[in-house]
Amino acid sequence: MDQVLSLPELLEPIFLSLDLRTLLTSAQRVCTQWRSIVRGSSSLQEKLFFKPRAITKRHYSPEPIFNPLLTTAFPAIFHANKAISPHSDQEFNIADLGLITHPAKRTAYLRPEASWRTMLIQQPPTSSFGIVQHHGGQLGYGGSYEIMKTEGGLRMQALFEALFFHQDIDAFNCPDGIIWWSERAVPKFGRLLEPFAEEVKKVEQPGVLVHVSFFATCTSTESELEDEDYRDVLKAVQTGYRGLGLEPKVLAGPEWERQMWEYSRTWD
Amino acid sequence: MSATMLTFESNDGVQITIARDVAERSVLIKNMLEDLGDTVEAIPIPNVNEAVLRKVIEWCEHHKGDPPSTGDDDDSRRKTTDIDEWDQKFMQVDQEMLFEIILAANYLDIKGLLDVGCKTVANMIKGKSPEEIRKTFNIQNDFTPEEEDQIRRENEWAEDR
Repeated sequence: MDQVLSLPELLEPIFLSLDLRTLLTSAQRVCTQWRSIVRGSSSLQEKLFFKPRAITKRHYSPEPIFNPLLTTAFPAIFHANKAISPHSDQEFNIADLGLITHPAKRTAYLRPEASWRTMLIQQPPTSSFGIVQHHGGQLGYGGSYEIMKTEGGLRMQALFEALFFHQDIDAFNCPDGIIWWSERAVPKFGRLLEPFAEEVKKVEQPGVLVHVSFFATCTSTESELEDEDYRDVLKAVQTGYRGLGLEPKVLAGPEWERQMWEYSRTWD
Repeated sequence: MSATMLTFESNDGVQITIARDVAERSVLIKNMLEDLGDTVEAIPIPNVNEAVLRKVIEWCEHHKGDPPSTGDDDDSRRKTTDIDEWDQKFMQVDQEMLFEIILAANYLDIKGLLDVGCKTVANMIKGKSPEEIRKTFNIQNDFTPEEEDQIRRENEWAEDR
């Protein structure tokens, strides 16, 4: 091997110039030295969204950088993210996920060691996400708002498993949208969190908010209330997990701090 | 008063005279000149041969008007693998020369040239499979099949479809 390609101090800047996909899927697999440089370098681990990047004054920017590998692999989840698709007017479609649109890759996605699970969603990372739920029926209406927070930064597995295994989300109470925090999203956050405004005044807004709603009318039948797209994706994910003998972690673990607020009203 | 022209000697004994502001693109030489004060003798560059030294000087001549590096090694490098047209042409050399230039830029501490060299190598790696990379750079695969498979399985989801 040539001298340049065996000097760690030169390989690191070369790898820093490389695109994420080649770095992750090819460069690490070339030889043991290349792998140990990728694993051992803080800058490269930050570039690959495995290690949180500290917010320093020099790098301060109001807009975080989203993990491009995740936004490409999970378009549905980042659909409403104006930082990624500023002109997208497409409707939210939960089926727009790599593991659904490319069934041949489903196992590659769902296996427990798949690296997207431990990847940070953005740099610098956000520490929390929320699920806000609104429901209404014949007797009244209500909702809940839960914030889940972890010091190490929000990683993809937590968000993914919350979407498909959280107790408040199913084919009836399915996600209407996923909203990413930004200056422009302030009014939308405000509207969705309005019933909880008093209680959460002093709480930091989460970096991403999953919005769930369920409104029954007296004429609707069970099958009309079920969201078919979500049901099919849910089935594929759950079957995949079972097939691999995999238990979702769903935010279990001491690193998670959870807070929840609820309200309910009767129709006057 | 400091001299405006300086003479350097490559490790194969060839003397080359260039303008001081061109030579000072190299942080190593700049610091050396500060320590040496005025010198009339040829300054030896023990790690670099004539052909490579001439290439490096050519780059420094072209870039002598560039704003000095801020010492922030983070941003420029990370954001893009774009290389300006002149630099791209400049880097159209065989692999051995490319690596010699990178080593010389590293030794002489010429950040801009090192960046361009690293980006050029990165562009040679970009989009290639591990096997293609090994072939391009003549690297031995020293993983056990199990080890390599483990890394492949972790990242298979992100492979190009």
